[in-house]
Amino acid sequence: MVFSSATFLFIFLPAVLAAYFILPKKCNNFVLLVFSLAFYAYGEPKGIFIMLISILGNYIFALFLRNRYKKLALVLSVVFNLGILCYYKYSGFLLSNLGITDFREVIMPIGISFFTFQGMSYVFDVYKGDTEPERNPLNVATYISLFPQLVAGPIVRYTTIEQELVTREITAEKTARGISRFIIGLSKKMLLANTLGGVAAQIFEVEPSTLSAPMAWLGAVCYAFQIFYDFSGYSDMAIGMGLMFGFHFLENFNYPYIARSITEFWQSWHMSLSTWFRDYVYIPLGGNRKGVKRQILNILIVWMLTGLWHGAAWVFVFWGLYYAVLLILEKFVWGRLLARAPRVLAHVYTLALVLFGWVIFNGSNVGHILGYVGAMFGLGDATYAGALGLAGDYKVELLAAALFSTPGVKMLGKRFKDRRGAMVLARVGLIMMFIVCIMMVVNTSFNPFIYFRF
Amino acid sequence: MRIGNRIFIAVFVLILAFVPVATALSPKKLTDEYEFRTLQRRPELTSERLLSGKYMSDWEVYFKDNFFMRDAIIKACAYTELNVLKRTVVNNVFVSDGHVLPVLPYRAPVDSTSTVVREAAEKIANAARVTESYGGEYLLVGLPSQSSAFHELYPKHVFDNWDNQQKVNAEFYSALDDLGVQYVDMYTVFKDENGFEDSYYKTDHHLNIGGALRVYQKIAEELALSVYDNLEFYVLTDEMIGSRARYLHGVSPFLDKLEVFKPTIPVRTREDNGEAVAPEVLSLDMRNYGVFMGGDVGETVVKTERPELPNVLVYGASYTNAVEALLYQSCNEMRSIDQRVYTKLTIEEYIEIYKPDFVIQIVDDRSFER
Repeated sequence: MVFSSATFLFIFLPAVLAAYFILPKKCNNFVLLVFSLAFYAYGEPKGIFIMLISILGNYIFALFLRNRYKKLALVLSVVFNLGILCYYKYSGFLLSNLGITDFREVIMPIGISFFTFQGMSYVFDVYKGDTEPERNPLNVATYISLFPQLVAGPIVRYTTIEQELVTREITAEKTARGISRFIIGLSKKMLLANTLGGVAAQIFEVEPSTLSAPMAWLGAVCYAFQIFYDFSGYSDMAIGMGLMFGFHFLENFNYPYIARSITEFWQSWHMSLSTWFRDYVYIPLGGNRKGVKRQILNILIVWMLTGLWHGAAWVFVFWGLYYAVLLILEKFVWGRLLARAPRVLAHVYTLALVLFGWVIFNGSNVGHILGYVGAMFGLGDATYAGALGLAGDYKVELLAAALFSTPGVKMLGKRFKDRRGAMVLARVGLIMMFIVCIMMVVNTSFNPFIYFRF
Repeated sequence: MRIGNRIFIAVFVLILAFVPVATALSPKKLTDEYEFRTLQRRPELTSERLLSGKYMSDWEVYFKDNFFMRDAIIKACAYTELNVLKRTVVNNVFVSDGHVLPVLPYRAPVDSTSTVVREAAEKIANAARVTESYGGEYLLVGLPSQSSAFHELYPKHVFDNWDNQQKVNAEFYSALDDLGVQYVDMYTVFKDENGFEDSYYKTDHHLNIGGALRVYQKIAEELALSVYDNLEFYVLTDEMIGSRARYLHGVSPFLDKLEVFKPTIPVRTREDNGEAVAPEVLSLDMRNYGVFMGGDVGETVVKTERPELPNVLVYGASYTNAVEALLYQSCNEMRSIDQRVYTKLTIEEYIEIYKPDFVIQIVDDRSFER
């Protein structure tokens, strides 16, 4: 079930809101747990058992982290979690790389990367002493299975919501903010991501050697907008729904497309994942505390794993290592030069490299990626041209996508937020956007989020 | 501000509550006339469907198919895309120079499709050999599809597959030559006569009566049939919504003229799938392409009881319908098979049983590789 589906919007969400607000407060967590499990079972009737096993395993391992078996429990929890992840997500990749082709395909449950990492972060935080193991298994189950962030993040740390799991305040103001955030996220998904995604798909399916350079760049730009608005839209909906239920999830994006370096980009993009790898892989490996060579190795390891997390294919490993190399170069070669460079130049540098990164990410294989990048530099034969016509068809979405990827509108909103008229206008606008999104839900067929692959 | 928050929440909740209730209470349609399909019925619960996830996904389709004010919503979206946002492509069709044309699925440039095309040509040659084995004559009529006929109207950024199609056409006809199959290439005929504009509907993928007449004349010429083309034509309706215009859910900027004719040769008997039906070739109550022969029927047998004229079998898909409505005039008995629907016998078996004097296959160029 995706948040932009009719079933979610008009059956699931009204039902969970009704149960949550009508039943006594002490039932709140139970309601969320039941509905979260139902939410997951709806899309993964068989996968629900894997998630329940994951929850149970992490609950038990965390309890053992307060006795003399803590190191063993930690190791076992890592083996357990990575074992589940490797089996369901990477077994096919591993076997095919070993030359074994005759094996039964393992169906990967939706969101396994997210809930596995979430479970692991809980165990790690207990081990580090950042939090105490939760005795109530229902609280752990609610935390890991909480439907707003279950299948596509953000990856929520237990420490972020452990207080709110026990006691949380729900106010009209918070609920209204949550609804606003939800509608903004849904609008990003339906009005921008889906539309520009269609354009990107149209261009990316074309044989790259036939693309004109403008068409290739248009495809890359549209894909960059699609993946940003798709994923940040989903995060907005998750954060918004969290607020409706009294939870404060951390932000996952911070205007990454205005970054002036790759380092800054990754400090603003999918922040819950990058901080997860920083806190649980990079720092335990030694981070930057063990010399330059070790730091470079740590960066390469982290980014190889980041690439693999996104998909079980060498293309994703290559994508991760692409960013590792850029980050290393910024750190040790031209970082200072970049910091002193004119802002515009730094933006162009960052955006260009990010666009090439998305071409790698979206490419079907190495040949396709090289061909596409070649087309961006004019090496295609331009049989498939007409970028101006195609961009003109979607000028409204392209302009809106460019505008909303900067904090300009938000800053404008802050200036007027205390004016009653402005607030009323904004909310009327949000309701109208909600209605438009509903119309588009009806008008379009099933439409999965990109990050559902993970 | 507090009251504002509560009103905002109330409106949101009202929308969430109103929509499912309105959807549940609104009357349910069985089919959608624009999409030409049966709308999803209430899903059936079985353990297999539940475990596979099909039961849940069908509920999503059911909800959207029966959504409150669905038709109005889809129409509004199409209108907005076409007239406000001024998109070239809306719902997989685009409007160009007075035509509503299809967006074709992308296909990478092909160097050669000779293997696939050769196999398709050999299938045709089999039917030709069976026909010729008892002294019959076989003719293949190759029709340009709408996208081929109007490939020049495609904007640069809308895929027309014309380069690939030309290769396929050349290889297909070359294979037929090698196999000794008699054929007519209607693309060349229409091109030479500058006849595309007059031969196709504006909003439908089929030939109009003008195009069907030209095909009938060409068939008669190739097979030395007597031709009855001195007919009185008239407009049945100016507001035909063609197959392409249906994608626009009633907001197509123009509609089509559905022209028919007054038959002069009486149909003595007609059978559809073995059952006697009204002896006519035009179903004048229909206001679309289905007027010709009453639409797609698996097997039709039309008799004019003129034994001096030949017995003819014509087969293919829906492109044959308008041609059949004219061709029967030149026949004592005309049998027609819609290959998409008829499953009782293979075409070779059918030919062997009924041994028509002439066997004609009408096929559009997008089917040359099948």
